[in-house]
Amino acid sequence: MSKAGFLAVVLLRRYRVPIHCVLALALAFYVVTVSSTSPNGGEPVTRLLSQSMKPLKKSLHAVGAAIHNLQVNYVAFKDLWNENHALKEQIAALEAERNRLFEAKLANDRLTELLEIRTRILRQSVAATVITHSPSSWFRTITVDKGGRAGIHQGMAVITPRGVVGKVVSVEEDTAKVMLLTDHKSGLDIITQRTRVRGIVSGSVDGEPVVKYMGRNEDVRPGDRLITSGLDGTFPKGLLVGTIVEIAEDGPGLFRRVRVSLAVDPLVMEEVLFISAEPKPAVSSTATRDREPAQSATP
Amino acid sequence: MNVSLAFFGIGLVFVVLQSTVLHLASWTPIIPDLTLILCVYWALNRPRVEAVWATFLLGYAIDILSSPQPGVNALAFTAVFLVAYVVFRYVWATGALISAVTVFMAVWLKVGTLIVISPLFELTARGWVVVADAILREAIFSACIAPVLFLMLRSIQNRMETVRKPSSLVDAAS
Repeated sequence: MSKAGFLAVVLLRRYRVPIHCVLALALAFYVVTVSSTSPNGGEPVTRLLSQSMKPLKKSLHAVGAAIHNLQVNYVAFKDLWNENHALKEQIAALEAERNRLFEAKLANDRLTELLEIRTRILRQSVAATVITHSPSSWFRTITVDKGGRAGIHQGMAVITPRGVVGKVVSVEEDTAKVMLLTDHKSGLDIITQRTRVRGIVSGSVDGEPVVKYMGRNEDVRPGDRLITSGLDGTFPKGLLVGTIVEIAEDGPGLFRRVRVSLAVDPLVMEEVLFISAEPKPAVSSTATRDREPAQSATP
Repeated sequence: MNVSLAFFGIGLVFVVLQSTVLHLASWTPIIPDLTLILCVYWALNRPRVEAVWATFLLGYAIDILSSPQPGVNALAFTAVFLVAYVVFRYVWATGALISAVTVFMAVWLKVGTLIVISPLFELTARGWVVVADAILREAIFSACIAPVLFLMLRSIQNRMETVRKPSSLVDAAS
């Protein structure tokens, strides 16, 4: 090999990368030139490759579109999820608000009833709210949020618009304890509304109130309503006590066993009215009469 | 397996990724030029004849898949390879910052080549600003991910060369 040839080989070997770069650039330039001048939009090789790549392009586009759709759907789903979450929170808030309003309406109804009965009864009265029920099954009592300071004293009758509840057994400054009719120590003089037969409604250890001292020959039957007789000096006459639900002939001695369903369920009552034995003080003006019950009726 | 062949395979995967996932996903408004980063790495770390033609083919693949004018990407990629080989290689120092800077400049070079070559880039003055802004964002994004990609490619290269070494040693011994 000649010296020039050897030199050429060495140079070619030494600069083979740049040389190939220049060749590739030339080829690329050729492709660009041909493709830009060709009326068919490309030189034959590119056209052929482009044609043969069509299925691949389509599949790549499909994959890309699927990914794009997935992303779009994910975003939409995320938006929906967020919206759903926000709506759920809104529903919960509205539900709480509705419940609060419903409770307010119920309380309003109860207090209105209490006010009505208070104006009807011609005795001094105090409204109060039940704060606790007796935790013992032997003593059936409730505690209310008003006591001696509000004018409550021992022996006062306790009622609700539905009927008789019980009697005050102890009084503190700001609370009072009421023995319910269901307590086995309680006793209330009653008469049947239909036949005016007398008896004593009392609780029992098993929690079922009964009418004591009801003779075997008395005209009573299940469904008869029991009202206060007014003879005990505590309860006004005519307040509903309950209804006879069962009469058994196996009672002790001369009397029958009469089971009673009380008008007031002590477990669900919330506001009660205390009635004093003393009559209402005489009111001098209409304004005072209108204002005074509303103030004291608020529990 | 030949490192160049592996890089070419990776390059094709990058082309596909750029044409599909990265191109269509709206969470990446800027598409990093992964293929270009590979070519720059190739030119800097394993400049061979087959690397030149692989770079050309990768650019050409992009042309076939997405370019309206065939050949422009092949030309731009080859130009980037040449410049990286001739210029960047001599100022090359290993490091994340250097690789980022190199890729940043390579992106400008690539798009510059495209602009010079392609008649598509006949732009008004305002159009140039928009294009320059797009190039800048692409260059920054590519430069940011370049160190990571360089590390990955280096680890692939090292692993393959380590695997190949014993057989060459055996040949030398025999």
